[in-house]
Amino acid sequence: MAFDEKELIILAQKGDNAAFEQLVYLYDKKVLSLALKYIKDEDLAKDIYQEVFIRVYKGLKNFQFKSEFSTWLFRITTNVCLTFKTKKASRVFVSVNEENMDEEPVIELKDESYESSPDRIVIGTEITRRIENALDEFPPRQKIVFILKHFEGYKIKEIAVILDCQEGTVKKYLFEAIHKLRKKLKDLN
Amino acid sequence: MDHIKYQELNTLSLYEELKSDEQSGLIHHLVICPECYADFEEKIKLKETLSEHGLKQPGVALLNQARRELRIALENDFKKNFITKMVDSLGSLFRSNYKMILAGAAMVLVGLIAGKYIFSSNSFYNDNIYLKAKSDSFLQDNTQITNVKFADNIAAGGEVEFSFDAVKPVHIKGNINDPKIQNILSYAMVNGSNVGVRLNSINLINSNTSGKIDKDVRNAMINVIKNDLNPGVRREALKLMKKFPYDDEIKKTLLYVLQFDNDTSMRIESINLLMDAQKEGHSFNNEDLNIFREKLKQDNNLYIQYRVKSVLKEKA
Repeated sequence: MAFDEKELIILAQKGDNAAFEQLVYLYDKKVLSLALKYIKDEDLAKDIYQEVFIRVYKGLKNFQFKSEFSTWLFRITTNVCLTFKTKKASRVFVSVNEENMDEEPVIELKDESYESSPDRIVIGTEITRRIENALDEFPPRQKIVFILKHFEGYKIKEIAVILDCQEGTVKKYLFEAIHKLRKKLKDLN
Repeated sequence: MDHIKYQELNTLSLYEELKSDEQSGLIHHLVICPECYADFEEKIKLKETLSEHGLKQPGVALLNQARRELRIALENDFKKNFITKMVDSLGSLFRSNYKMILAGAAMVLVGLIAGKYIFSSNSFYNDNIYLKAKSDSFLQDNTQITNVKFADNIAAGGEVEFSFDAVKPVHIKGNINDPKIQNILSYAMVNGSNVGVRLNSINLINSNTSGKIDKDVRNAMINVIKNDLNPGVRREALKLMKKFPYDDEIKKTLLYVLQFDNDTSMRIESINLLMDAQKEGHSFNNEDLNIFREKLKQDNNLYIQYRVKSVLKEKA
């Protein structure tokens, strides 16, 4: 028997894990797609995916249908993406404390696996790589706005609700993003 | 309105974000302004380039893997939370100065319930398989006693009260057709940390000749087919499934494998079993057919494509 989304949410709120599973399957491809486009690394995208749905699972009891479930879900997704970036950046340096100051020098860790992986070389075209590089230079929120708008097809109004900001702010991010991309990819057009 | 404003409208127009009056105003301006028209054309080309060389999309295998890892994470989280809640409840019972006997009874109850959850299957999604322990005498040869805790240091009238963990190695010899043996094997099938243990458990159950297989075994088998990280174990579980009469749940499991398993041989076996069922007169509903249609578009394996086409053709 197929349930609609609201029924699934109510059942999942009551602890029905099968209903939660169905709910996950309704949206998880989009969540993973957004995470992958944002972070570009499959393993990290899976980490984001997992973090999102664990938060959804824990927070579902407090979901009161004041917004669309999808809006709530993608708000969590964008928050996880944005904070995940911060977490990743915070791993750039190995932390040291007073006890090991004398032992090892500070090592700078830079994740270059994506850039150099054979999969990436095979799959990615030069143009795609340049688009990705251009997007990487965007501030995180601007990058999320552009991905949601251009690649995921959300309306500006929806993005504003997801990011909890004004429509004008979303437009501003979008205009700036287009302007930067035009400059970066000028020779392609 | 200045050029910058019109050029912003150009962007919004490309993403179909303008109202009809704004769109008409923009078109009128583009006709008379070469600068804004050039901007519009450039943006169209940029949008085409971005769409043509878009960012990486997640494949079915990645999605499937993410789903599996999520299940495992949720199961672990579920068990951890359950134990934390139990410990908290027990703590508050002690703090509230209830009689010690009530605390003792609560501890036994908590132990029983926690045991059920801790030793139950790893399945998060309602496949509850758990080992049914016999309530034999708890102190026998080879019983290892650990974690002794005294409830009260003062022994009144010679009575003492304490708790401990009793761990006892068990050696069982029995018939494979015995449901109790099957129950233990299904626990090992799901929870065995070693691949060999899980494979052996499945093979032993598969050697059952009576045809009577416990319901818990069936649930465990479905759980393994969907969730086990080792393709060899999943394959053996799929073979075991042939012993069960085809029904809606088995159909759903096979469709799940066809959709999400990243192992080609699993998907081939699954489509073959589904076709066999179709030949035997079992039908597919619209939801199932949509899965087949989607599969036809997505699966790169020619054999699977051919078989899926046959299913759809047969249905038509």
